Amino acid sequence: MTTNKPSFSYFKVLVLGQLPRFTLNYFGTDFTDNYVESIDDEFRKTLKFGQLPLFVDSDGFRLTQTDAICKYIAAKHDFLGKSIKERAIVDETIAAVHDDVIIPGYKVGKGVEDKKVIDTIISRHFTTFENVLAENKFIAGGDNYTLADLYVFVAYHYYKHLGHSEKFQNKFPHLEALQAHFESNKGIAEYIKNRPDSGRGI
Amino acid sequence: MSTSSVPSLTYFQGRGLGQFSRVLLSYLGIPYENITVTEISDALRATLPYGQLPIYRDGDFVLTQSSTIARYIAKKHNFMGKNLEEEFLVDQIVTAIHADIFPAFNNPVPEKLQKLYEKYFGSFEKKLQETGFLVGSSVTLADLYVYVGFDYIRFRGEAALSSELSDEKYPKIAELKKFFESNEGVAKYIKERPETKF
Repeated sequence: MTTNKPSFSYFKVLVLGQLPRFTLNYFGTDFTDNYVESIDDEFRKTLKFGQLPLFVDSDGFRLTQTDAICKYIAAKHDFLGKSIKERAIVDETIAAVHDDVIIPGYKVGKGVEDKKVIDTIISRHFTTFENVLAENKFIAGGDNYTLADLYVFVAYHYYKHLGHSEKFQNKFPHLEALQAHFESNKGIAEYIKNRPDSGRGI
Repeated sequence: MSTSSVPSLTYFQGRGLGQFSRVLLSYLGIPYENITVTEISDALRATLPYGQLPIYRDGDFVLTQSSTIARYIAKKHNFMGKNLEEEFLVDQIVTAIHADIFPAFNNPVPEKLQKLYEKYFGSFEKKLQETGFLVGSSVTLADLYVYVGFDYIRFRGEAALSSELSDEKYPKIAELKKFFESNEGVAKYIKERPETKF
């Protein structure tokens, strides 16, 4: 690659690719967004674990694994919290959103997981996020937004995209405010408007 | 709840997701209270942010999510690499073990599992052969995670296709295992941990 622009590669489906895409766009990063149809053998050989997503920074630094990519970008923008403890809470939230919210939501959307799991996630995770925001204003409890807030917003946005909006009605005013905050960001608004439809609803 | 001044880690008696932090704390020589439970009672669940274990308490600071706990401890003890790039290369490996390998052997499909092991442990083995460490020029949480993950799959036996992970196939990872198990804290932890199924 001869360009010095960072690049991000993932499929059209939202699932895991949306997290780095939201993060990059939130910061207004000028990057090449590669929507990959499939991973051919040649491309697979260049991937550390044979998987996407892949982020290549402007200096050629390569990183895979969704959360590692997002945290690396966030770290460069001081968006991971101000102390080691705040940062740990950010990390805790990221792990919870990724493992316990996004992945099961995707599996339900794909039809390989029982729909009942959505109610459990809403009553357990989204209720926790709402309570934390009601108490602290920010997910990691500091005095500003962090990647934890962005991750929670993406999860909330994704569950609405997956068709679960009616389950949220009037229950989560602070999550609604969080969504409004991030969707008013120019980069995020552009991304939501212009991202391609995967045609698969996930 | 522990009133002790040392940190505490609460998890089931089995190794499962608690072992990463137990081994890490032992390796770093950090005194901690190892609290084991047989089930999550309603009273305990009410204290857990997401209703799940493990949970780590460091004074009044409470943390859940196994990989988060390990990274927090590692970060406090300069065990996450020497710079920003190294830190997130460590993170990449920790996430790979936690999110890609661990879930796969809970519902194993032998052919898929075999490919998965070859892809991941093959990559780790190659890196160790090339540079001696998984990230940078010293031992980090990435090395510990690969050792613990590798060792745990072998402990789980054929249900987890453990025969795929032989010393012959992965000599450098086997050396990594020897390295960590020769550590006084880790050796003591291994000697004293109870026999469990998981």
